[in-house]
This record gives sequence, C-alpha cells and structure tokens, in this order.
Amino acid sequence: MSSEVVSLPQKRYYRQRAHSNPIADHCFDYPLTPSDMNWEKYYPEKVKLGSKNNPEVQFADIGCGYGGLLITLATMFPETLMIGMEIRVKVSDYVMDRIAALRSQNPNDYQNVACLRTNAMKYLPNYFKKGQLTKMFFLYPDPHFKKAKHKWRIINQCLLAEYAYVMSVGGIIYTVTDVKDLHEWMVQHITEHPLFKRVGEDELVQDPVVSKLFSSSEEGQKVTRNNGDKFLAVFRRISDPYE
Amino acid sequence: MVLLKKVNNDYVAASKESVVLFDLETETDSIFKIPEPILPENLTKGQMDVLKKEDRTITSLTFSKCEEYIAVTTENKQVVVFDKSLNVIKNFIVNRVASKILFTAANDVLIADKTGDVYLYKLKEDEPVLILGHLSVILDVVLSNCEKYIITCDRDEKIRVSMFPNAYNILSFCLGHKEFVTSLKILGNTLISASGDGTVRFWNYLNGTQLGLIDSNCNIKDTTFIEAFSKEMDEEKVDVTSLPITDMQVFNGGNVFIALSLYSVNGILLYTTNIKTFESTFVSHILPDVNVYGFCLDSKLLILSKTLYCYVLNGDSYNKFSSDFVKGFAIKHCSNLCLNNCSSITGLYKRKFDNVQEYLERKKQRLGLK
Repeated sequence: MSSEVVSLPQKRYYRQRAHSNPIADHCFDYPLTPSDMNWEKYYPEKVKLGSKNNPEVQFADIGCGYGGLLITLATMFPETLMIGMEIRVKVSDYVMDRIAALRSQNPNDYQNVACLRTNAMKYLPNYFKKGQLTKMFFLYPDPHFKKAKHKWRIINQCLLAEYAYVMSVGGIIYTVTDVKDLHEWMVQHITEHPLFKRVGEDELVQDPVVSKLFSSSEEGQKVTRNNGDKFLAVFRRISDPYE
Repeated sequence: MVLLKKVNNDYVAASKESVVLFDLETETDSIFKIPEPILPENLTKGQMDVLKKEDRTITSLTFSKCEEYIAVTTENKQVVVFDKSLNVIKNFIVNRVASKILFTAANDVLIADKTGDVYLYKLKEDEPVLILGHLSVILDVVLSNCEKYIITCDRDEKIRVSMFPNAYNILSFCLGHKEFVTSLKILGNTLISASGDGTVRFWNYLNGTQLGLIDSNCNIKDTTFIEAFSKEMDEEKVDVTSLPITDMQVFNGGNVFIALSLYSVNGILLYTTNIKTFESTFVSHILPDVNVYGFCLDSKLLILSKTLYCYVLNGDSYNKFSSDFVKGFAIKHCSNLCLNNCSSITGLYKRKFDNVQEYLERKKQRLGLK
C-alpha cells in the first residue's frame, strides 16, 4: 500500500455548468433495492460486507455540489454516515477525490462521508429504505426559472412524497437558496405537504447545523462574496395527520 | 395490442374511433362511436393540440365497478364516459395524453398520463386533483379492493404503493424488476406485476416484499425470437436479454390462472399459481401460430386476432369453443380492430448514453501528464 498522502483536488479541473436535465436518461448504476447497495465501497472503515451491525446512512445532501457542507458536517457528527448525491459527472468526481484526499491526510477522520453520482429525483428509493434518513439538505438547488421547467425543480409537490418516504418521522429538511422566488416556491410546497411542518426561528437557534448552512458550501461562500441574500427554511417530517 | 375488457358477460374492444360492445351469451353486439371533442372557449395549449390532431386512437379503456359505465381515453387527449346504453355521460379534454384510465367505486375517474402524473376527476366537479406524480410515463395504475391504496408502475422499473386518496403518503415501493413494469393486477392482498424484463412477480404490497417469480422466457423454447429482438435493440445501443411481457391477465377461479403475451411471440402463455406458496406451473402455449392482437381472461379466454378465438374453463383447463356469433363477429369487426402501435414498447428501454467513461479517460491523461 502506498503511504503517500494524496493532495486535495484542484477545482479548476472539475468545473461544469450548473444545470443538468433530471428527466433525461443518463447512464447510472444504481442498486435494484436498498439491500443490494454495497456501502462498504463508500465507507470502507465503517461498513463491512456481511456484518450485521453496519451503520446506515442517515444524512443525505441532495445536489451536494463541491461537498463543502458534507466536509463540515463530517467532523461535527463523526459517528453518522452521510452521503452527498450529485448528478454532474465532474462535480461528483471532485467531491470523491476531495474526500479521498482528506481521508489520506487525516487518517482518523472523514470516514463517514461519501459522494455518489446519481439522479436523486429518480432513484432515492433504490438507495434508502422507508424512514431511513434523519436529515436531508437542499442547498442552492437549480432554480429552473422558466415556468415550463418548474417541474424539474428538486422541491415539488410530487417529489416531496418520496422525500417523506425515505425520512423518519422527526427528521429534518433544510433548504437554502439565494433566489427569493425559489425560496417562496419551496416554502409554499413543503408547507402545503401534509407530512412536513415548518420549524420555527426559536428552534433554529438551537440547531448547530443551521449556522453552517450559510458558510460551509461553496455556493454559499460565492453568494457571501457577492453580498447576496440567503434564504433559509427548515421543516420537520411529521406523521400523517389524516391517517 | 387491441384493448379488450370484460365485465360479467359484456366485452368491450377498441376499434378505430369506436368501441365494440358484445355479449357472447345473448349473442348481441353494438358499436359506440367516439363523439367529437367538446372544446372549451379559452383554449389552453393542450386543447389546441386536440384541434390539430387527427389521431383519435383509443389509448385506454375501462369498465366501472358497478358495471354501468365505460370510459375511454384517446390519442388526441379526449376522455369519454358512456353507459351501456351508449349514452354519453361525460366528454372532456385533458392536458396530456392519458396512458391509463380507472374508475373508483364512487365512479370518479383516475387518469394517469404520459408525463407520469395521476389526476382524480370527480364526476361532479370540473377541476381535477393531482394526486401523485412519477418522473416517467405511468404504464399501469390499480386500486386495492378496499380502495385504501393506489398502486402505480412506470418505465423506471418502479412500483409505488401510496395511500388513496392521500397519495402524498407512500406506503412502500416494490422493487426488483429490471426493466419497465407493464402491468399490475391485484389478487386479494397480493400484487402481481409483469415487466419488460420478461418476469411476473408476486408482492406483499403493504411492505414491498417479493413473494414469487415467473420467468416467462424459460417457456419459449425457440431462441430465434429473443435473438432477433436482441439484435434489433443492439442497433439502438440497448442491451436486451429477455423478451418483454406486453400484457398480463389474471383470473382466480379456484385455481389462479395467469395469461401472458410476449413481444414478437405468437400466442398466449398460460400458467397456474398456488397463491399460498407462490409457486407457478406452466400450463400451455395457446395458439403458438397466431399473431395475437389482444386477449381477455376469466372463466372464458378470448383471443382477438384476424379472427376471434374462444376458450371456456372446464375444471383445470380451457377448452376451445365456437359459435356462429363468434364466427360472424370476426367477419364483422376483426378487420377494423385498432392495433395500438406495439413497437412503441421498444421506446420504453433506456438508451445508453455514457458521459462518464470519456471524462475519466481525459482525467487519466491529465494526471499522467503531471
């Protein structure tokens, strides 16, 4: 085994345009069912094939971009497995290389974070069992400004049912955007969904994750540099009030 | 395929812009012609398309549970509900081409469309309610007998079980099919699904557990069909190893019978299944020389082709029968039966489009250069 420490990847080799068509057929490898998923490949120090006591992924960063939030959360929740899901080829590869480098530089850390390239709009139920996730992050999602493309937005009425499915009751959804119109859209749709309830300001102050949402992601830092607005909304998965 | 449905003794078959109703007991038949679409005053884009579109081929056909009503959807986005006396009850336009229509026990109508959405149209209200959405075309939708659950399947191998009508609450996913799911049937507490991967699967739909499987391709001894199809799809860069199931019919008459049609294969494959152990037995390949347009299975098995073939269940087997009416029906109607474009099934496969390999090659070069 090579003892050479891997250096961090340079972002200039991984730049890619911000948009990807989530409806088109891309070539993805995805497990037929959650139990077919080989997580050992992603968390070799935490998950062992065949072991009965493997931890399960609990946090999912949907459209994780360059992985800034994951890297921050990795050391805040060292025992929690978290996954970044990103559809863009180069960007997801950057995050994978970044995590590999961080693991090599800090042998005891970052074993709980990983990134995979997939279309989260289509394949979440292939990766996660019902009620498996305790946190989901939607930071700076593609605003898809045109009205005809609103159904491509990662937060929409129909997809929220799938997010509710993979989340445990009590789990938290975090959304951040710098686009006011998208913020209002997300708040409206998640609030209208019977399985989610907005978390109030008083509670947000207590949540150590909240302050990291603004600063840790690359997209967030860019908005800060440009003195732009950032809109946050947080929701809790509740049980069905009509069941 | 020709759409053919049965309730009690009444059959309905789609025939060009008409529906043929017939009854083998009373030996009567009648034709219902789809009326012209009624267009509202302020036309939306979808409604404008209707005006332009000549093709009024029927895409879906169903009976109500009370057996009084029949509903059809057409290629030009029209939905028509009529009763057995051929009176039009409702005639309206939807914004997207419907792939499947279904009645609830309350005679409301569920319409799944080609973009993956399911709308509930209440008979007494004009505005539909969007109840769920997939990201690809919905190929079938069924309600459990108790109507507490709605089950939908799509081009992405998925079967989704949601509460009904509160479909925002997903109960389970039945995952395991390796291609698009073409057909769903409910048998008590069991869900039966058929797929482009050539298999039929049995599910406990409450928790998504697979209970049993039939690999229909095992019963096609002649491998020339799959070789030909595989070659055809290879040209489109799709890797195909099984013949897809194009339609499935299920009948519980003491024994549970399952009838399948496969793409490019003549005739019908018939199975029986033990619903306690979910073990299935291949019974026979019926009419292996006949190009089947459509079929319908209960205590009778009707197969539509250039002529009409009838079988009746007698104990454990289906026996052929004929009558002057059956012969006459063939002469009168079979040449008009509208064939849905069956080759459209090839469009359900995913084309390979690999943008990863090329990137990784370039990256390897870049790292090698350092």
